[in-house]
Amino acid sequence: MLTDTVYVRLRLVLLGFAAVMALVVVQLVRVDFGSHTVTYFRNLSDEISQLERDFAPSRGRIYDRTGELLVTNDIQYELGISPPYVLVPDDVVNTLSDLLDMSAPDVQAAIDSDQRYVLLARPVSAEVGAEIKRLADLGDLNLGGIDLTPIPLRSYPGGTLAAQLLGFVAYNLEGQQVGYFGVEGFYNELLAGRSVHGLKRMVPFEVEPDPAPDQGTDLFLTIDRDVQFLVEVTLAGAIEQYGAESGTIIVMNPRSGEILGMASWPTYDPNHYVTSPPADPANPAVSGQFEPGSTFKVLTMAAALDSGTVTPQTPFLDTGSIEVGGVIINNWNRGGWGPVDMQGCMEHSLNVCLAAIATWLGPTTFYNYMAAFGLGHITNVDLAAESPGRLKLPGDSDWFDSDLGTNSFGQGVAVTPLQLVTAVSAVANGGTMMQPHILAGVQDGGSQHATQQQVLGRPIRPETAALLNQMMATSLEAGEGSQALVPGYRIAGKTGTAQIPTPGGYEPADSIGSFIGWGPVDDPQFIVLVKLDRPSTSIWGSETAAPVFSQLVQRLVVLLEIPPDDVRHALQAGN
Amino acid sequence: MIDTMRTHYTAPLARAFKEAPWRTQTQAVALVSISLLVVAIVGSFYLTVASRAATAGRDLQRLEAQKTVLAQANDELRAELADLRSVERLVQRALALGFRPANPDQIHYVRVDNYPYTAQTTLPPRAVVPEATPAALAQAADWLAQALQGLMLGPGQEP
Repeated sequence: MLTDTVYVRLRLVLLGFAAVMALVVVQLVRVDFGSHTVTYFRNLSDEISQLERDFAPSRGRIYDRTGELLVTNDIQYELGISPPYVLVPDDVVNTLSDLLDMSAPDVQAAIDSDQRYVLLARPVSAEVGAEIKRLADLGDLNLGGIDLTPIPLRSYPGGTLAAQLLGFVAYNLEGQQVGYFGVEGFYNELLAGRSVHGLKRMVPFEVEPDPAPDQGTDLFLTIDRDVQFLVEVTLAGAIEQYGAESGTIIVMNPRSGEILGMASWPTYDPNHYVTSPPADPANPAVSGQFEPGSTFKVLTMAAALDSGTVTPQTPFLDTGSIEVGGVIINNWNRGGWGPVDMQGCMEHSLNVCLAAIATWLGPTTFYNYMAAFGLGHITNVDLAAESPGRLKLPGDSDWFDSDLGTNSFGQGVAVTPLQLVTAVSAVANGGTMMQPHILAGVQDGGSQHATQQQVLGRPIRPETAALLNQMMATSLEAGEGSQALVPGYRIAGKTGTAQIPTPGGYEPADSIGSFIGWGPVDDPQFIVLVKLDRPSTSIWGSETAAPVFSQLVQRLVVLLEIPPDDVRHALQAGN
Repeated sequence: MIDTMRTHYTAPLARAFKEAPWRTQTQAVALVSISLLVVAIVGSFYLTVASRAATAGRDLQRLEAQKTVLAQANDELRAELADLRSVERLVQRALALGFRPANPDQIHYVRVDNYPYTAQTTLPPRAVVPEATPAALAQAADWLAQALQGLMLGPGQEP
């Protein structure tokens, strides 16, 4: 009897278990195959077990031509609080209020929030992040609930070194790093790489390696870090010595178009562009336009020689003034120099002579040559925000007959410093203008690619370039630019003193003093432009920019390992 | 006689044994047990594989995290190194050590026979990516050849 009762009860229990199991099975089937529940639970599972996100590549680094690091990546942090995980609020409040510029009540308010995550500070420096990690690792404090999320930081180890040339990186509205200006802006896509959208799986069974994004490409520039430093130190010294408001220096290899150094003042530190934003982050060497003044006479004389309009010995009677298109043009000293030849015109930088030459050339020939020198067009240098300058042409609504005369000595025409260097480099390089460029090569993964040098144009014949080369060296030795001479080296060049245009005419007192020179004359390896804006000690380029050129080149030849002419000739003769 | 008697008594015992009610239950229990054992063995295999997969997954997660941390540390060290090698710092150290910039007239040029003098300064970008050496390539080729040979011969066979 008892046995029967036990059997009955056991069967009832068994039935109970079976019923529960059946319910479980039914529920499992319903969950797994029911139309709407499947989606719901799958989404819930996915939400918990995987994270959909962009896997961002690290931005490419930038090196100088010798492999010295100019731009790299560092980290900083986003600091937040996850209130549910804060176990000892006092530790968190005291630590964060000490390390951050934040009051204790503000931190406490974040901890008391009913949100799952509260952003406290972004960005937080790597030093503060490391200190928080150190304190957490020590174990004396319970810093649970503090979330440190690394975020990339673009780092410029040289500070202001080549700042305007390099540009800077900032975050856009989507939180992505974007390069602005300079190399960072021009090569942004190459440097940025390509992010990959993928899943970060949390369940160990399903974990897969993170998707690999296309990493940013490393760039090698043509600039030499030591030359760049020399250029910047020299420019800063010149600004102070001559009381200039701003200035630019460019050093380029005329044979290849490689920019070896490029600097402008004032400058800024791209590491702190947020806290100390520059007034103008653009690079004045490629974006700033100015009337070049007498340095432009090199181009006018090149056109006259190349077209056969004049020879170095062509005579000219300088009366001190000339009328072109109804406008009277005078020399810089308002005096007449009497009978001179073309060499004398360049030695004494005679506006009247150059204006006469322009009239001999005629507007068509003159402006054809100026266009061949690339004026009025961007050089296509690989730097962001390049300006085309302005060359008014016959037929333009604002071109007048008098422009032919004034343009001949660099007035009424706007160029960028790099445009002027590129145009004059044709004289230094046997009549050929090389494409100015800043990129020497790239390194993408395991492969390297060097940039090919390109010819930008051949505005004058090699014979003309050789002739003018000698003329400019001779005129420098005998003329008003003698402060630009460099002991031991034969240099060619031209001074410039330009008025600064205003809407109604020109500024009465201020000027732009400049000097463009290249050397050694028989084997040009560098061309240098020095431009000082509104120097207060003297308005003349021959007294400001020319000595700066000399000072710079005396150090430049050491860095570029160019021996003095006699030594170089001896070495070449020995080979 | 004895054999006849043994036969006579054995048959009913065998039948009784075969027809015993507990024997049917035993068979069922055995069947269930064997099934359970099979399920347990399969389950244990599955569990072993799953735990290995989970361990591998955890290892992968840990290595990915470690890779991220190392990449960050690498970036920090690279930035620190670049800062230490900055021109301004080097110039200050050089000046502190008593060096000063040389002027062109202070440099002495020495003629070295058969040294190719090149007036043009053309420095190629520095290669920082290590390339596979011939030795490393040879080892990789050997390994591939051995692996293919092993697959063709099958396990346990010597080449």
